[in-house]
Amino acid sequence: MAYFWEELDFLVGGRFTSLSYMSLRQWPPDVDGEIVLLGQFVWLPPGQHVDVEEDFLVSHLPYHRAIFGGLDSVDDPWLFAIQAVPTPAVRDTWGRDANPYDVMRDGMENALIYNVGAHIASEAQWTRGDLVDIYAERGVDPNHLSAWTTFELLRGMLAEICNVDLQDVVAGYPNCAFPDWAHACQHDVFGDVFSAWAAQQLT
Amino acid sequence: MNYEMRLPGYGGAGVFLRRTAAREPACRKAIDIWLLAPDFCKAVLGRATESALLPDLARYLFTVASSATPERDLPSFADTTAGLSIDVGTSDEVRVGLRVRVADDPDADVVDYLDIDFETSRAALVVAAEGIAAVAGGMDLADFGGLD
Repeated sequence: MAYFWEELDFLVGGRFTSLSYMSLRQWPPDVDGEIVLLGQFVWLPPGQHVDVEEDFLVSHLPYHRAIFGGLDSVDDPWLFAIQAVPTPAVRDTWGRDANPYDVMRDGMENALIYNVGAHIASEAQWTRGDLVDIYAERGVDPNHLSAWTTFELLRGMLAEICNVDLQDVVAGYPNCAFPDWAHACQHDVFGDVFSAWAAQQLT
Repeated sequence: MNYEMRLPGYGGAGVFLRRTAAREPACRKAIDIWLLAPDFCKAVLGRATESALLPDLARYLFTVASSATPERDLPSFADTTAGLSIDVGTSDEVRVGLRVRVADDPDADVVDYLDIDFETSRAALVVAAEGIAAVAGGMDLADFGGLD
């Protein structure tokens, strides 16, 4: 089972319906190892439309990186939002004692002002080392990840929730996820997975 | 932020309405209106209005959501007392593009507007309409086959 589905065990009987990833904001390579990530699970009020709420929420999250969502077993909508920022960038902005996780929590709290019924049910936080450990637990040799950026590690984990094994993602890195399939290759292992998932070819 | 109507859109845009009481004339019903985007929030507070605004708005939103081509088939929503208007610019099976305008001063000879253009979903329109219906009382959206 994919790492995120293990963490979010509520999803038994539910549906995963949307996924988006912010690729425009890049951080300098020298701070890549200092990027920290915060994932927060948000229950939406019953009936809210996941697709529009997902886009609305992340538009108000300054450190947004990825989000996915769906409906639980009784059709209640949920989102899992992932923010990421290098610790030095937070401390340059907010002061040397600033906690990057608290800064990202504050960002979520501010964004949820515009959706009174939504609430955070749980959260998880990771460093780059934590992400590498998750790959290792799934049988990936960490030596194969030395060229991966932290955001590529995250994208691989998002690819995993689209029903592709992490080992296959790593084997296909960087250019192709499906060397044995005839597919419209994106020449990007993650892009291949997300395109196939969006086309409902990975169910 | 409490509100009677919350209509979120793609790209972080949204429109929020809240019932309140007008300062002038005293004791008249009024609404607060917020037009929201990631980089601005425009607000009109305590705008006097007629009591039918919220039920009429709920009916309009529901009708837009259920119309195949609302940009062609439906008139604008307009509440002249509040100076609030909504136009449908585009639509497809999932999304609807709206332009929401609020007159700076509805009684002025030359009216300036606060406005926002954004896309939302048909599902979000229904949720917004249901939200109004839940607080406006006596409304049954299932009866709304179209505009009067």
